[in-house]
Amino acid sequence: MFIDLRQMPTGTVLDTDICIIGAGAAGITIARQFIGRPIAVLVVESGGLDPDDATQALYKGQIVGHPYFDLDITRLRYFGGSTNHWGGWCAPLHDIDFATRAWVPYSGWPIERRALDSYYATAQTLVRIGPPTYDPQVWQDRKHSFPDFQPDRMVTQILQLSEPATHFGEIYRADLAKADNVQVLLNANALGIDSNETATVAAGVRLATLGGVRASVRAKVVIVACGGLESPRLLLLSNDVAPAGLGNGHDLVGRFFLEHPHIVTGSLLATDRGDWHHGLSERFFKDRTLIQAVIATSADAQQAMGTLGYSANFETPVVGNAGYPAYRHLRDAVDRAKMPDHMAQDVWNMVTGLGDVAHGVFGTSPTDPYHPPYDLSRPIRLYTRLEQCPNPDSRVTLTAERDALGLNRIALDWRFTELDKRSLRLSQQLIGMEFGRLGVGRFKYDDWVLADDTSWPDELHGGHHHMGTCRMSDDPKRGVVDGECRVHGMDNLYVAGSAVYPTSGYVNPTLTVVALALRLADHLKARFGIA
Amino acid sequence: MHPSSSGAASRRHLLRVALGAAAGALAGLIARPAPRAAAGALFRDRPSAERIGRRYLASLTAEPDRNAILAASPRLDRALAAPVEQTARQLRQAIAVDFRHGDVAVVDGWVLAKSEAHLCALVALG
Repeated sequence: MFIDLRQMPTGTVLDTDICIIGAGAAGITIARQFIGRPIAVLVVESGGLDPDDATQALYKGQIVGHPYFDLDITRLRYFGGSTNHWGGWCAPLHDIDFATRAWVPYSGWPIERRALDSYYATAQTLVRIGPPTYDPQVWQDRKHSFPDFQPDRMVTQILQLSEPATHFGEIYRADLAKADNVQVLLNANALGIDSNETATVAAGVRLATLGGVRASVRAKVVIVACGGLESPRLLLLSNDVAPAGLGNGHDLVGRFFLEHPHIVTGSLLATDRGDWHHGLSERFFKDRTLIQAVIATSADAQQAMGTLGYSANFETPVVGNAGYPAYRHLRDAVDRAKMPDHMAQDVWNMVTGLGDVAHGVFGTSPTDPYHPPYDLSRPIRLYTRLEQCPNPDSRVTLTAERDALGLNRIALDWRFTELDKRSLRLSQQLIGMEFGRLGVGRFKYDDWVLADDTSWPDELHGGHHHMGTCRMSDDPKRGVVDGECRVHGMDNLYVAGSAVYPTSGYVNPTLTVVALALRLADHLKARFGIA
Repeated sequence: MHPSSSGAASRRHLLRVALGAAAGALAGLIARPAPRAAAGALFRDRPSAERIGRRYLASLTAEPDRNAILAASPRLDRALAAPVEQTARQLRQAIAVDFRHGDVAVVDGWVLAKSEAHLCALVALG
């Protein structure tokens, strides 16, 4: 059921078995696992059911490293969390992503990929995508084949798209509303986590509304599920007993911030103007699952070259003034009762491309969707998504500035390493080799990639993937949480979400967030004796 | 939105180079039989091939030398020595083998088969 802290008297004390702070993908997934079980769950959500400017402003912070999205833009603070603007891209991490790689400092998860296999399968259904297979042979069809890469060099990585993207707050709201043993407390901001005098047991959570109502939670288990920026903030702010913050005895909370750097890094000029690229150039449906294929370096190649994970998708040039896309822009704008962004251009393209409009409207089907005509006289641009090397200097810290609740805001210092750049360079050389070997084109680096080992253009941005800041390790000196996502040195405090990733691979994080949340829920069921 | 270091001019150059030099050799865009000494004249876009060749030669530590280049690229040597009707096919094969073996050179940002780079170097040497 849903309750609202604004409707409660100051001083309210809520007792529960499990308190989950944050109602995003991780928090909602865990809470749902306890519906109908003899366990009381309280989900504490800062926002309401809809976005609110004042609450969203609590996310404001400083960018002090590489340019990044504004911190109150890159995430959403209301029920459903950042799934409310999720793009829906899904793929599981690979075996190599969990491994300790001698060439990647601080790499290695305390669990293997197989520990998540069954959870990934369930996660696929929760994010509402297709079956848990990512073998490109399964997904190609007559129109969309994939390059016959040498498997020790490159692979075709399948991404399944949740389409429309599953907004957890919308899709699972009714489940939680009906649940007798799960309460969702809205408009309740966590001010800090209380602990015992040795900071080994989390006792509860202090809460406040923006209007001044104060309350507290007493819980047997506390789960911090606030995302990769806010989870470390909350641990750092919980410093009444442990001056450095809970779980921060080794100065790791907030460090090792990881993203997936996104940027165009080179061009492929096709010497084969045929249809070979369609599987990489187009999103397409297969068995009602929307697929996007990208190219990636294989695990063997990463090991042989000593590189991080690399992937890129094709930005294949199309005839610039195609009529049907313009028609779609205009139609969508009408449907949403909003002024189109480029109305004059769209109208012109539609009028001068009526044939293409007709093809798009009448010549397509759900299984054979429209694609604009390609123009391979221009190079295919490679839009790259990289794995980052874990770096303790890439971090989130508290600043002196305070938010409306009086809590210190954060600064994000996003940094890169030489391995990041070297990985990009070597991975792209492999791309050049493979497309040359296949006889379909020649690859050219963008100049900045070869310029040096350290610099990155300001245009490089992230994917709104905030990871690594409460990293997982069996060793308390190398990680904030252990393999069960429990904060080292604490009996009953857990972190859920991508903050716990010690490394990130190159695939999008949400599917793994959900899989790890399911695994944590199973751990807690065992802890409470209801497995 | 996405950054691009290639403006229209560099894109035209990129196109000229690839279609003229590398792809020209690859796709059999050879205008007439290819005796070794005349290889450079066979490119559709000779200036672009020369430019690639000059860049490649500039990256070498040793003094540029036709015989040394051919000695360093036996597959190219064999292709250029083949009967003229087989030149294009042998060039394609040499290039494919280079790529398969990872025998590549990065020249002016392009990832080229060594045979391609050496062919361009021969063109530049005249």
